[in-house]
Amino acid sequence: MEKVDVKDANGIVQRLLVNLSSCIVDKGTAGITAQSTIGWLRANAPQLLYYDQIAYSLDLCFEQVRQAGAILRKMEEVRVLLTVEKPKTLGGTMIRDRSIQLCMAQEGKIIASMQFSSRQDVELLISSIQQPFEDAEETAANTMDGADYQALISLRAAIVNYLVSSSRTLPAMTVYRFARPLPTLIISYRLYADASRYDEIRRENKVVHPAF
Amino acid sequence: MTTIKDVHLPFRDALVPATFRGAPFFTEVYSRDNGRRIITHEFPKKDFPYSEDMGRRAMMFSVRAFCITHPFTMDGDKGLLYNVDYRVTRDALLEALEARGPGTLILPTMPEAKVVVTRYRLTEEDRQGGYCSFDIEFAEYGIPPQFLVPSQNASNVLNNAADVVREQARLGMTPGTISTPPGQAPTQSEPGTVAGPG
Repeated sequence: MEKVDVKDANGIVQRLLVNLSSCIVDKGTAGITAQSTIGWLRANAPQLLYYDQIAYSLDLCFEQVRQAGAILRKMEEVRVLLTVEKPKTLGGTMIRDRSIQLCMAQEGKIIASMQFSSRQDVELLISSIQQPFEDAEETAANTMDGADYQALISLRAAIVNYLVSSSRTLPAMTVYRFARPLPTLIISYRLYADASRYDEIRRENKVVHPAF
Repeated sequence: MTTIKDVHLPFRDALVPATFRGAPFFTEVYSRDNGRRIITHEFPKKDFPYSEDMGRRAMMFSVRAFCITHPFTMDGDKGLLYNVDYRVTRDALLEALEARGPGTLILPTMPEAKVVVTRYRLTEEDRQGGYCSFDIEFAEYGIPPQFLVPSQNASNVLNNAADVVREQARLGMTPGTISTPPGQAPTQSEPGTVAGPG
């Protein structure tokens, strides 16, 4: 890669790695390993970019961040931040587009390990992945690389197939309103005649803890 | 004189009486319709189309069944088919065809299948007294979606597809490497002269 490209691409890589490190959840070995790899890559990115050798290390960072407990929403944030990057050189554009692909691959892997509680959650996720994939597929199509395009199409199909088959066994949620706010314990007793399901109601309604 | 029946043909030993939901009938003509769900994509300015396989089609069976008066009524279960009154056989088959839900279809030379009746036509003719025919359409019942759980396979396919995209992304970041088609092993580029973390 030319020096001017390295400078442009390095900026993207540095910002990407900072965003990636914010996805790490695990405080144990997996988290420390991911932080260490990210730190090492941040230090060596210009040299690796210059010799066109960053692919393996960058992919390793993504993989280790996922293994360190990255959730889908955080990985999506990383991807969105990548899409707003405005590289000025060919090298920078290549690094941004390929990083988006790595991000999407990891999102696919995260989805494969997710547990869903309702059909609506799955449908929401299916509709939310459509646009990013369309954008990435268009970018791949413009590069005239058939293998890239086919790989993205296959990934999208695999995600949709997995989500559709997951949603078949899930219940569809209905909206139910009480006249005034009530503790989940009481709601659970009134709806199901079973107070022990209060935790389920809290989880399905995605209630955020007021103190945190 | 030797006839075709004097030659031992193994398929004759395997013939079974035709029944649907336990109701027997005679049949001489039946067919099974099946295939793959293929969508053919054609691209502008390209000479080669791509026919995408979207899975197996549902099996459809077309059966021409008939019930006919027999010279005498046989004892036991055979009496339902070999009866002097063909209406006994006909009514039993009608009841089986109109019952709700899937039933087992057994045809003389085919493996049994779980099917539903999509439509049938009963034909009776005055000049063919003691005989009636049915033209029946069956569709494969399959598996109700609520019993389908995400298979380990779906999860593996997703993980594999994600790995292929990773490979492609890595290859794309390394100029000079030849892009391999999805599913094939990539050429892995190592950090090279730079010392690794730790």
